[in-house]
Amino acid sequence: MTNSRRQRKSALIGYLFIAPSIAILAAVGFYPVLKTLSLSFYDASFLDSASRFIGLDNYKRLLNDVWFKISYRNTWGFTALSVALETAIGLGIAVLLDKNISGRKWVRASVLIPWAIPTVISASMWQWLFNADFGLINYLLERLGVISSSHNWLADSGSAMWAVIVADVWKTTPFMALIVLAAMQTIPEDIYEAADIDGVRPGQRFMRITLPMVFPALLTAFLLRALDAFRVFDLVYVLTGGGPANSTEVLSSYAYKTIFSSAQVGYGAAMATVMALSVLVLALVLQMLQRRAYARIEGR
Amino acid sequence: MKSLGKRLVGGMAAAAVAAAVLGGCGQKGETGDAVQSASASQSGGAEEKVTIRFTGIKTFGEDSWTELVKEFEAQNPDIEVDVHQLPPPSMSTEIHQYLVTALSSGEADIDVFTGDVVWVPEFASAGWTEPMDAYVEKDQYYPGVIEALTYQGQLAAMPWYVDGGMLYYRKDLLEKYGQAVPQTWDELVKTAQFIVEKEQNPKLHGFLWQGKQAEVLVCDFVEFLTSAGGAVVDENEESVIDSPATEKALAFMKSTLDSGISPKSLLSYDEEPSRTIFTDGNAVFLRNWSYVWNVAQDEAGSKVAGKVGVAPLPAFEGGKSASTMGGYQFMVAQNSKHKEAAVKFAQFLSSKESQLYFAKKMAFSPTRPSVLEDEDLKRNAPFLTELSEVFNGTVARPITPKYPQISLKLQAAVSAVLSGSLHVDRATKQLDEEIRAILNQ
Repeated sequence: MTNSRRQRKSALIGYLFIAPSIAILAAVGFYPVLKTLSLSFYDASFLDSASRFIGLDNYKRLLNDVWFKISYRNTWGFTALSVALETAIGLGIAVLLDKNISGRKWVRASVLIPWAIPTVISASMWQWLFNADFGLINYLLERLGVISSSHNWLADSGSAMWAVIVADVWKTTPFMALIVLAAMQTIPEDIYEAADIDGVRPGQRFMRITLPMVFPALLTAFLLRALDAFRVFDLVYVLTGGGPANSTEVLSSYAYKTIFSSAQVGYGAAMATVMALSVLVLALVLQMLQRRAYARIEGR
Repeated sequence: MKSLGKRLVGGMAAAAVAAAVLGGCGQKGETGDAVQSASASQSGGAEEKVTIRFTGIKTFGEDSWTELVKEFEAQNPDIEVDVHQLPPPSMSTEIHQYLVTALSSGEADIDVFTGDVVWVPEFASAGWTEPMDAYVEKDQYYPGVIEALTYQGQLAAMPWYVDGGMLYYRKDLLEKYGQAVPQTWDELVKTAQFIVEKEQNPKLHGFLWQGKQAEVLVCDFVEFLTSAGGAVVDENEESVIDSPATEKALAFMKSTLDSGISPKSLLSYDEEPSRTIFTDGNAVFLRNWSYVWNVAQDEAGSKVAGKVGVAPLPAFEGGKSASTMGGYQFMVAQNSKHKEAAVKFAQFLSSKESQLYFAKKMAFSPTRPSVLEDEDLKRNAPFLTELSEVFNGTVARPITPKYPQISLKLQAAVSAVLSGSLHVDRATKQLDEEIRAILNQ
């Protein structure tokens, strides 16, 4: 009797303790999401305080919006390419840093620099690097004979997205590298010793031991990066503003312009909702892959 | 690794704190409101010192508010003006966003503000601006300006300055090769090609305009379009963009890039980058606004001082030269708590004396014809008087409250045509559909 009462009491105290967190989560998490969802069913606008319920009309409009389709495609393209490159390069850097080279601490710290710089600043920096007239990139490529005359990377709709991807890869590869490196260092040394005794070649050693062991961590990093890349805004906003010809317009920047430049709050909310659902699907798929990877490692 | 992780978390926490502190900085400005002045309370009258908040653009690198505000405060000791500066007009998209957010919030933290002439219908239809009919002597201003600032029969803004696109040319180069100032776009292309070929200067460009996906691209486009006899929206607010004139204008814009008289990098230029190249002496022709005149004459920053001429923009064969109406205007916020003082300040800024000040200091073209009679001004900025017909013949961009939406579609489609990812006739059809959809909403 007394036992269960004490249990109930402690449960109550527990709820009391988490109540503030729940309140905060509800205020900053659930409320905005629900509000956005409900706005997407209205023709809400900054210009008009009265708004009408219009059901799914905003979503129907999205289907016929050429520029929305382009942004949607761009967002997926950007996410896939930049995260794939980041994973590959990050893995490579991690392998290098895992070696016992002298001054490893310094190298490890310096790798972090790009990640520590605020995106707005690194985007401005890349804007200068890509500059058609005085940019370092044009200068180097011209010197190396790769291009014959300077190219306006950010103003050419064929190359602008690549420029954005390069800037993003530069910035976020360190994040990948560090997480993978952390996982590599947890691999017990005796596994490698055993492999050496069995005469395993270095290539096999990487493919059969290192990669499978870091795979779950790699997937976690991949998941975080993919969700982050899908919401990319500041880099695009500063570097290209979505141009030229909307070739770098992504969902966040297009929704932002729709809401704040043309004041169509309801329509923009519909875009945000579609974006959130897309991210959700992406997250679920990646999480499923992750669970499978863990299951395999733990010997099913 | 662990210590590194901890440091990272610490860093993030520090960043979050910094953001919170910085975020808090935006919340001031209520301190100076309605301070009772000692003399007023003694006399027992209703005299109360009021503070009005003025949100004004930065006028092309020059501070034009400090002096004027000081003078206004001297004339009106019971009013204090708190100036809140916005970026220059080249960032009009951001200025527009700021004003829309601030005005739609319903707060009374802006009393008087400056806005682009194209936003007037939008702001007026949203009910954010105080009608100005009672405070403006309309016959003192150019009729075209009053018309552009009138929405549904009510004057929504106090006129400040008009601006228009114009053609700057290298007087010295044209004289050197015995070329006349071009009247048509074809002549301009031929002259530019001829001079660039003869000059043998690899840095010299033929013709610069603004191709960046921004508001200025719409301004340039409207000029080409109107000079081909076309329009975006007619007077009944209906789309008329699907026309041979649109195709002609777009094809010509693209051809300047293809033929090489305009550099490909032009696709990333707004006003200032194109201006710098011209004043560095690396272009024969430049389409830009009136502010370039003073900058080009200033020997400190210009290599072409004294070598520049200015003329109305060319037209297509059989068409008429067209110049997009630009310029900022003063508006009084509907939510202002001190309307009387706010109107007084707007009237002061729009007065003949203030307009003369702007004309002399920044070569802003006045909206009152009487300003141009000033002898001093005639001597120092001759083009203001000489080109007064350009300023008064300016074409308004589509007059509709939905202009910002239309502008975004125009920017995207024209930019797509220029970069080659959208064909001219596809663009014309697509724009027609998009603009119809916007207007029918």
